[in-house]
Amino acid sequence: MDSEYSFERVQQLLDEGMNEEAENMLMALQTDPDKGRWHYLMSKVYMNKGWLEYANENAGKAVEYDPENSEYTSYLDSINLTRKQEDKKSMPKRAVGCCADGLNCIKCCSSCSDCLGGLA
Amino acid sequence: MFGYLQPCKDEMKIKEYRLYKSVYCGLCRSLSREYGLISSLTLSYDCTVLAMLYIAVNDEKYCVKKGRCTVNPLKKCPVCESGGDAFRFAGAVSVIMTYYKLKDTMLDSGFFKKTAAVILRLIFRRNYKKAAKAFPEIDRLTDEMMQKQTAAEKNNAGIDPAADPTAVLIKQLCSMILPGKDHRMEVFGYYVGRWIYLMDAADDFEKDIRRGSFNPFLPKHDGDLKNTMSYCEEVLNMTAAQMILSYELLDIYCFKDILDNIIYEGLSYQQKKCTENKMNGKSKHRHDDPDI
Repeated sequence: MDSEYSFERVQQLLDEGMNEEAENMLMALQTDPDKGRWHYLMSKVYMNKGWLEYANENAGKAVEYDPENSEYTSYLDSINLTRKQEDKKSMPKRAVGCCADGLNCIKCCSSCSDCLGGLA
Repeated sequence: MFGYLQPCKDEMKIKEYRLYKSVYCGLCRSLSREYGLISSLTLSYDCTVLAMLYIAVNDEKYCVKKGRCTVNPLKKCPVCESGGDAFRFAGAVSVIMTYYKLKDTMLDSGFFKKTAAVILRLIFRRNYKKAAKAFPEIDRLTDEMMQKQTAAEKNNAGIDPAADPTAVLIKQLCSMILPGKDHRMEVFGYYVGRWIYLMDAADDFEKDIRRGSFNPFLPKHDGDLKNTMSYCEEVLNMTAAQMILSYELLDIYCFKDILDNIIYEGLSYQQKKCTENKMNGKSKHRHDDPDI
């Protein structure tokens, strides 16, 4: 496989807000044995696209494949938090899977690929 | 549109409610002026929010005057007037979307509904042409959305691809409201459109089962309506959470209290009412405010 095709590169593309390119690269990486990573990154691609159910399903699969990975479990937890939250006022002020510092997130949001990159 | 974007009246101050009502009446008046009294029938809460958002993000000048109801001149009401294009824009969206919705009803419904849709479509035809001439982009985008929606439903699309055409339409309308500035309005619009589509799907769930029509939540139905409705609520909650994040990034210059109410209180209120009504065996809940 082309050495340019890697999960690191997919993550980099996501960070740069290049969602479509990241999705295409992931499609080429479908046979990679690290299924957990693949589903985790695919979930992020869907999240950027606004396709939240596919994002949720892929996040669940990532945890299924690699239940010990705290990055995947906390990502899935943050998704579940928004799904169960009925009180809209007390919703966390950060996007699912966005930077860890929730308090500062709104300030950096306009340039953050997790929040606006894909749809924008 | 569908009428799901509404404030939660119980949480509103009286002055906010009056201002909201004045925008509703302002849009009704603008519709009658531009397209004739009959087009007031196309008036919806969603388009009222669209007009309000237009004024709010563009910092458009507006005033509230005393007036009389267009439909019932015996009734006094406050009427909002804007110095810009907010009401013309929201009015055109209202007329164009109603026309396309009637086309959809003509193709999908039984004899009586189909006949009513044919007649109404003939009545609205001239108004639609006028609106489409003034705002050709809205017409083009709506036509494109309807075609994509039909294709998605024919392919039995999942929740995300099924909601995408409506979401993209509202995203593009929002980008027309604030053109060439930044992407925040578009992102907000995408989730508003997605939420409206999914609310309508949840609201129509039982009817669609009875008629054997497409519904994106159907593959998740295990036979227990309670489980399906709580799943719908989860999907709507997640969409609303994303909508709120993008809403908080917008620069809102006026109507902030009312828009906050709609986003923070109204969404939950509508969701709960829809899903709880279903669980209690009641039918559709919308358009329930006789005062406006």
